[in-house]
Amino acid sequence: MIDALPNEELRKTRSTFRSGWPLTILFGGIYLLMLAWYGISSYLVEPLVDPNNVDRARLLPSIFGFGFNELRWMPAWTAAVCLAIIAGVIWFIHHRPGRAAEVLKRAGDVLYNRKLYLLAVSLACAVIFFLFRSYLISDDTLHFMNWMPHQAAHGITHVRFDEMLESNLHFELYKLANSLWGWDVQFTYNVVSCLAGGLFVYVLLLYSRRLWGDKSLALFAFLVSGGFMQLFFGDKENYTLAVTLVLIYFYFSYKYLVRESALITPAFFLALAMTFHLEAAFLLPSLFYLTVVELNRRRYFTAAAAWVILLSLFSLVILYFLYRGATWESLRDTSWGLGRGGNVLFNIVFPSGLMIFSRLNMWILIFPGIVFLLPAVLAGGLKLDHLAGHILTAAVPGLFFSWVWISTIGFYSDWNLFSMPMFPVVLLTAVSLFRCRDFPLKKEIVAGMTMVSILATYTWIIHNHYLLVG
Amino acid sequence: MEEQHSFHQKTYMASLRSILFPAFWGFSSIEGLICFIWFLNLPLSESERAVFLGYSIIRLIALAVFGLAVVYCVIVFLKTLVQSEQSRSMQAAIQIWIRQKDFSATALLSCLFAWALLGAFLEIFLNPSFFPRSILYAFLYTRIRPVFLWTVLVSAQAFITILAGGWYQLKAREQPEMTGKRIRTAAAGFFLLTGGSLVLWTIYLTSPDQFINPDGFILPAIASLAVLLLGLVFILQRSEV
Repeated sequence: MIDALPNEELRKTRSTFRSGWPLTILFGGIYLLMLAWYGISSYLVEPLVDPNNVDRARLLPSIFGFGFNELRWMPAWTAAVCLAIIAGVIWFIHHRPGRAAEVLKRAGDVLYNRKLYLLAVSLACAVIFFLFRSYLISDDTLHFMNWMPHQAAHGITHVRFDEMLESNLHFELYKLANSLWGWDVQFTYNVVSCLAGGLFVYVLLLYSRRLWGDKSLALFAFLVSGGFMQLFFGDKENYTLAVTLVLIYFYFSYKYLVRESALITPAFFLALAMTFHLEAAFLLPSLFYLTVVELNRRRYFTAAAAWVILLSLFSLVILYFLYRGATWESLRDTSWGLGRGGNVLFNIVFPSGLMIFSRLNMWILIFPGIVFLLPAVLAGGLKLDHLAGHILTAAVPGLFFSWVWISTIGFYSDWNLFSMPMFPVVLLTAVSLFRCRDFPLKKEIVAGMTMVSILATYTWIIHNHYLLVG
Repeated sequence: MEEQHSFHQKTYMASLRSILFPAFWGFSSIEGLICFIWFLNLPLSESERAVFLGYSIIRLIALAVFGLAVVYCVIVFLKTLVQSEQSRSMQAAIQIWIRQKDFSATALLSCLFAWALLGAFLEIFLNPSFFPRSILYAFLYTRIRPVFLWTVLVSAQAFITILAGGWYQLKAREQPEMTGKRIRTAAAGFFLLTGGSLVLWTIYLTSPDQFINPDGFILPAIASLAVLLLGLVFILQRSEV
């Protein structure tokens, strides 16, 4: 647990507020505002005609846009019933706090008693992901559906520099599964995504337990309340495996910080994540942070070895594809990360006008709980220890990337591109929120926010499953 | 005898620092002045963005900040020459900060090293004579190069000065890093992966036509073996001694 970090590495930040009630008003106010915003956006404001194109949109639908209005897929009476249930749970937490904590602790103790139970839950989640797999098709998915059968038939290796192993692995699995069982491109992506989701859930359960002990299930629930979970419900683009590896990187980074793992391990998984999707390179500053910790421990060989291994592994993967017949030009000229034959700086633009709301909608869609990030930091949640330092050095470039990188297919369709850089922001929000000082009704507000986020997120996810129906 | 040795060592370090410290500020000042003049002589901004003397707002702000930094270096350099007492107290303050803030000092040194490395990297990879495609970024790199190069030089010099002057102590570890067998296994994995990468890249760069083999399996096999051994390395390095 984070409290196991040595005292000299912990420094409390002073909370801005002297008593707890201002925090209750702040957090509670934001929560109620979110509830109202969800309601207004979903049932009272007409949605954006095209959420991917705000150029000709009007202001109001943009402000109340796709990040807030996914509840509209649920009839109003159903939403009211769900909110009543949420209110009931909050009432229970408020009036029976000991009982609620006891239930959570017992559930956690049973689940974490044996690894087999964790595996069973993860597998069950993978099955649920598959049963509610998405039928959302983006422009990229259409490309894959066109390219892969053609390339497989002509013996061409499918690889894109931005997502080397992710794209190639999907392609090779499609070839194998198509020849054995007749799977098409969509179904192959569905299956891989759901299996990755099972692994993601397993690692996240372990990570939550390490971070928050007997409250780990509450943390886990808060973390999975974000729309990025759509990645594991059969998403048909090349991000799923990379995001899973990013989580594994964070898990082993934590183990490194509490001296249960060597630096080489998180470095290895970051290198692997980068070979699956180049976007993971935004995490390099966080590995640099771990390197500083390693140097501070006076371990010079492993500090250098971690980076040499990262570079070697990455270069070996490039070499592998060059060996298979790819060329520098084809790898470079198809890469968005390298400017796609042009200037990569053209992909970086500070948003203006309605584009700002589009980005904010995208952030809320990926993780509604992000609205608590700033208040949690103000409430002293950002303690200056290595755990926070590491996550912060990952979250800052991730947030910057999510703010300035252009999406060519629109932010609604490109939510999965931005899920990876937003993931450390998700972790930072959760860690800061759970670590900030206690205030009256904190448990109730956090539980309420978690449940409302789950309601909105999984309405959207389930709606994506029924896209082809009726 | 040991006390005498320690005394000689301290005296030696004090003398070394009294040379290194003003030398650092002196070199930074000279380099800063050269780079500042270079920055002033860059082509003027586009007319629609020119605000004052043909410079844009961003260029004016950069000039002001850069100028202040260079002036600061010159002032400190002159003080180290003229006011030795003040120079010694500055050195002592740096020493105390580094000793009290070990992590921050390590972070500072790491950042200085990384920035210097980045500068070297960009000087190669943004040079059109080595990489013609980098001409795409010439418009930006030309503008920031004087300031960037100066910060790189100052970083490299600061890194060397802090280490050579003994301000940052490269203390030995309290515990041995690994046992003998694990050291050998770790080293074997490390050298196999890095050595193997270098060999394979050399083969590819010298004979690409012979290297490429879309239907082959030797290279994937070698790479897989390297990765497996790497896995062994990190599994064995799971826990501290």
